Order: sequence, then C-alpha cells, then structure tokens
Amino acid sequence: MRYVESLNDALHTLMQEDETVLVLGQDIVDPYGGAFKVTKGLSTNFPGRVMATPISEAGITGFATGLAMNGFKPVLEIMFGDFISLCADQIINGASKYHWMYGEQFKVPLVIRTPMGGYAGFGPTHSQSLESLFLGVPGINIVAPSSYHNPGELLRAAILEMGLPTLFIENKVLYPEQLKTVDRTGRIGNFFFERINKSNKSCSTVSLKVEKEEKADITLISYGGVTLLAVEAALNLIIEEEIKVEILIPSIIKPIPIRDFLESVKESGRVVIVEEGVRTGGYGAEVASEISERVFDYLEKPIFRVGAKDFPIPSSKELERSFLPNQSDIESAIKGLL
Amino acid sequence: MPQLNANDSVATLVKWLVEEGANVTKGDVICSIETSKAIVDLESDFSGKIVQLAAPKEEILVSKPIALIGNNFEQLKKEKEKLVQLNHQKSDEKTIEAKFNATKKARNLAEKLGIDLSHLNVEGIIKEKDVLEFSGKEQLENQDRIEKNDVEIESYVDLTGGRKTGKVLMLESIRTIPQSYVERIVLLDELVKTITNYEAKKGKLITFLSVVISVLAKTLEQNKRFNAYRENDQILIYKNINIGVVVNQDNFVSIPTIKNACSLHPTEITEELMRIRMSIMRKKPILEDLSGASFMVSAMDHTEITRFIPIVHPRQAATLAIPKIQFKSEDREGVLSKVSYLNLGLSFDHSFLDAIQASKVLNDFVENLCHQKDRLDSEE
Repeated sequence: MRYVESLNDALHTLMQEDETVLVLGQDIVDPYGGAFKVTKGLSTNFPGRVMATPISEAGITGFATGLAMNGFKPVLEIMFGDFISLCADQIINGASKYHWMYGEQFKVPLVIRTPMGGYAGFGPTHSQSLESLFLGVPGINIVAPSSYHNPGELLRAAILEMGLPTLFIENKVLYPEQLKTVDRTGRIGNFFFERINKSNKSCSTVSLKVEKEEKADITLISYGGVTLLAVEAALNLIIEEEIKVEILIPSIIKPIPIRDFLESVKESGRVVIVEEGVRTGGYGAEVASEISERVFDYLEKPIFRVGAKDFPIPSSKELERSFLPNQSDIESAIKGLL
Repeated sequence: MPQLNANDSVATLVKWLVEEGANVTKGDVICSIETSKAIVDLESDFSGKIVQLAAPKEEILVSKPIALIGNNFEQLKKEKEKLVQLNHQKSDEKTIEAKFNATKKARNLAEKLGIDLSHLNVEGIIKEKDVLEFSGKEQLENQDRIEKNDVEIESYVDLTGGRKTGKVLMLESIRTIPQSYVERIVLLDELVKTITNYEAKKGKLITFLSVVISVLAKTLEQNKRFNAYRENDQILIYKNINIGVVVNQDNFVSIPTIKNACSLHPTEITEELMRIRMSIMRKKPILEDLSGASFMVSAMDHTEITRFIPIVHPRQAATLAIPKIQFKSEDREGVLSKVSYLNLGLSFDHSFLDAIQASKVLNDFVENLCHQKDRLDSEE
C-alpha cells in the first residue's frame, strides 16, 4: 500500500466512525481531491463534512481552531508546508494556548496536515521543511511519519488520541512510496526491523540494524522523507566498508522521544542526526543537546548533524540536491565520526 | 512521456492511435496517456515513421521515451532492440545483486581465498567475518590449525595479570639498564655442615636461602652503591636493605621481600619467608610482603641449573644469582674428597657500576659467608 493510500484510507475510516471528524483545506473537494490526492473521495462519501476553504491560511486555521474548541475534530490541510508560516500566529498565540488560557474548560484537538519537503524542483517557497520552527512552541505535538511507519495509524492517533493541536507532517517525496513491510526473517530489505515504544505507545520509533545482535558503530537518527537517503547511505557503507549503522526513525518529533534513542546511543557512542530542514537551530540541534545532557559519558565523539544549508532552496533540481542533504553528505558525516 | 502535472512523476500509456511503422506528420495525434487528472491525447512533435517503445497500460516515468520517430525505419527498429536489451540487462543486474548482497571486504576476501560466495548460507548481507568463518570451517576439516604469516601456529595464550606485568618490567629493564655479569665459585661444604648442625642443636629451622639473604644484607651494607639505582645522572642509595626473593611461581610478580634484612637473624628470615609463603598459599597475601625490594636474589638452587644470568629489575643496581649446588672432587692434603660449591653470579647495572666493584661484592659476600658460618657455629 502506498503512503498516500494509507492516509486516504484512514481518513475514510475515521470519518465513517466518528461524525465529529471534519476535513478542511484548499482544493480538497472531488473530483480534484486535493493537490496530492490525500483527501480524494472524502467529499463524495461524506457530503457536508469536507469543506473547501479560501486561500487564507490564517483564516482557515482560526476557523478550524474554533471548530476544535466546540467539540469537533477538524483535520485541516495546508497545501504546502511552506505556508505554515501564515498559520503561525493562530497556532502559536491561539490554538496551542487556549486550553490553558481558558482554565482547561475544553481541549483543542486540531490536526493540521501538511506536506513538507523538496527534491522535486518546486523552488524555494514550495520545498522547505519548517516543522522544526515549531519545536519551541509549548502545547502542541508534531508527528512526522516515514514510509517505515503506518501513516494512516499515526493520523488516527493524532486525531483521536492526542487531544491537543498536532502538526501532522507529511512529505511530498513519500506520497507515492510503498509502505515497507517486514519479511519472514524480521527484515525490511537488508535491515532487521524493530519497533521501540519506550516514549510513546502510538508513535513508535523504528530501529533498522544490519546485525541483530551486534553492537552498531554509529547511531543515525532521521525522520520523514530524508530517511530514504539515510537508509541508502547506511546500506552503501556496510557494503563498501562494513560500517554498521543503526538507523532510528522516530514518528513523533515533538515531544522528542529521547528514551527511544538512548540505548542505541549508549552502545555506539557516536551519533549522526539527519533532517531535511535547515541545520541551524533545527531538530538535530535539540536532540543533540538532549542526548549530551543525559548520556554524555557514553559519547566517544561530538554529535554531528546533517541538514539543509542555511540558504534558500534553489529551483534547479541539480542545485537543490546539493543544498538539501544528499547521500554523500550523510556518508561523510558517518565516516567523520569513526 | 511529458510531465503534464507538477506532482506527477509517472503517466500511463492508454493506447496507440497509430500503427507501428506508420507515417506520422508533426501535429498528428499518436496516442492517449492517462495522468493523475485526466486522459489526454498526445501530438507528435516530429514527422517520420514511428516505432513504439511503450506498451498499452504500461506506466512510464516522466521524461522517458515512449516512441522513436525518424526516416530510417530499419535503423529505428535496431535502436529499439538496443533499448530493450539495455532494460533487460539492468533488471538482470539488479536480480544478481539482490541474490547475494555481500560487502566489498567480503568479496575481496572470497576472491583471495577462492571461495564461491553462493556457497555461503548466510541470511542478509555477507560480511568479511562470514567468509572467514566459512573458510575456517573448510580448513578445520583438514587440520586443526590457523595459518598466519606462513608459520603455522598451534594455539595461543593471552598474557594476563602477573605475567603481563612481568613482561612490562623486563622490557623496561632491558631498555633502560645496560646489563653485565660477573661470577665466582663459592665452596659450601662448611656451610652445609653448619646448617645441618644448627637445626639439630637449636631445634630451629634455618635454610640455606636465609643464610644467603642475611649474608647478602651485610655485604650490601659494605657496598652501598649496590643497594641503589641510577636516575639520569644521580645514584640514589636506598635507605633500607630490603631483599626480594624471586621465586618461580605462576604469578611472576609475587616477590617475597625481607625488609631490613640486616637486622634479622637467619632463623628469623626463615620464619619470615615461611610466613609469606603460607599467606600466598592461603590466597591471603599481604601487599607489603611482596613489594618494596631494593635488591633481588634469584634462587634456582632447587633446580638443575648450574649457571644463569638474571636480569636486573628497573630501579635496582644488581641481582644475585644462586644456581644449583654442585659437587666436584678436590685433592685436600692428599685426600680426594667431594666438595660442594656453586657458581655465584651477580648481574649489575653497568651504567654506574663496573666489574671491579661487582667482583668486590662477590668477594665480600664469600668473606661474610665465612663469618656468618662461624657465628652460627658459636651459638649455644
């Protein structure tokens, strides 16, 4: 099953089960069914509960917040993740704080779904990964499924269980990807697959290891779309130089499921964090600090972060590939720690 | 295949609207394709004969060719053949690689050892150690050996604990101390008689080694430079005369040490040595008993070794060698008698001591040995 199909299925099932689930966004109504087709079929099957909104991100976020405050479970689609900047005030000074500012009289179970990510030549304002800007906003969750998770299940958890405003970060590159399945030896491709649920029951961290029992040389933490590159890099390094990388793929970005990472970090003592967002002040910076605060004595080398360059993403696809993290950046980072 | 929608990376060929080999003109509709939004008719950009590359219902990546249009039909068909072959090759390569994924190191080693990787029964990626293990199995079937550097090694033992410390001490010693050696014969008949009588007379235990230690202590009082060590350009003379006895045990480092040997009677030294040996045997050794020696005696008198050259320890000046007590015939006043003797040896640090000084030590030792014998005889 493809990533986009998993999401579409989950939305169909949820809307069937729960009448308070509403879906909003630009151009999401059939027959178009949304820019990336995640919402295709919903307006036909659930008339009156799928709303086409005007092109005003601030307005529709405010509107959705209001719905959430009044007993609905709105799932708002922001067409391109780059536009989340327009929703910022409604999230930062609105949705995330109302539960507390109004004395816990109600919850704000608002889910904002949006595709981040580049590598498609869409240009500087349609290719960013801005979710790490929101790491410092108290009162929200950020979930970012990879193709090693089940996005539909995670979306379900975000809508039904989390109970607070959640940014659900999808990735353009991942939409057409087949979701990974485990074979009878417990592997996905060449890696042993394991789920870690120490921090969060519904949002697990996936662990991929070439050797099941052996200690890894490096712990690589990566989420979302760029995980595909990280896996390629790890595979290449084991073939070329027998470097053993354990890849940890969290599905929840905020709060950081730090306990899911620590065992591997303690074993390897060397950490690389890969994100598609800009390296400066990004996810890697926060996770590196958390790790070093907790298990500094186990670290052999400083933690290294790979991220996008501190520069607008070029429109040319070739240039874009060198400004966003690429496979050789990740391999160099890993080799630099050994 | 054109990219008609920004978000489409593939499109499907629905059907061809012209025959293979037909003449097309620029602008003619040649096929229908289905994108994520709709089914669209495609026009030809060129004129000529058409060779179809895509099949109906086939999903093609955007920007990949779906047809060839040109004037030379035969040439175009050859091109198509080439492209088809290329595709097959690529998918073959992929399946071969997928069949057994092995690391570079593994492939190199397998080639070197002449092993066919497909014989290995390994799930997942084959690593160098998998190849090693496999090759080991093959060799073990013949002999129980591992080849290293063309010299066959039967087995190996790790240096641990005392043996490892010993290695460190000896290497340091050889590196920092220029070792030399002098030797003289010591006649022992009289001494042996004295020791035997003493035990009978006094009922106290006294060993040959204890007498050696007490005599050695006296000798070192007279030759203080031998109870010392050199550091850079200084000779540091030890305050106390602590004599360590190097005994051959599994744990090299345990050197029972008699502290202030000068002040002790041989019977006391005997007792001390016994006490320390007991504590070792009971596995309750006391650290102070086994360290702090300023001079060593290496006792091999209970072996068949008639001469040996001990190595001076770091931070010491010399070591006394006590080999096996031997016998020879001697003509004494016309009577052929058997006398006992040993080759008393002294290894010393030649960077600040010379052979003359070392000889004096041995001579003083023999003289003191005589005196000690006399003292023991005269005790009531």
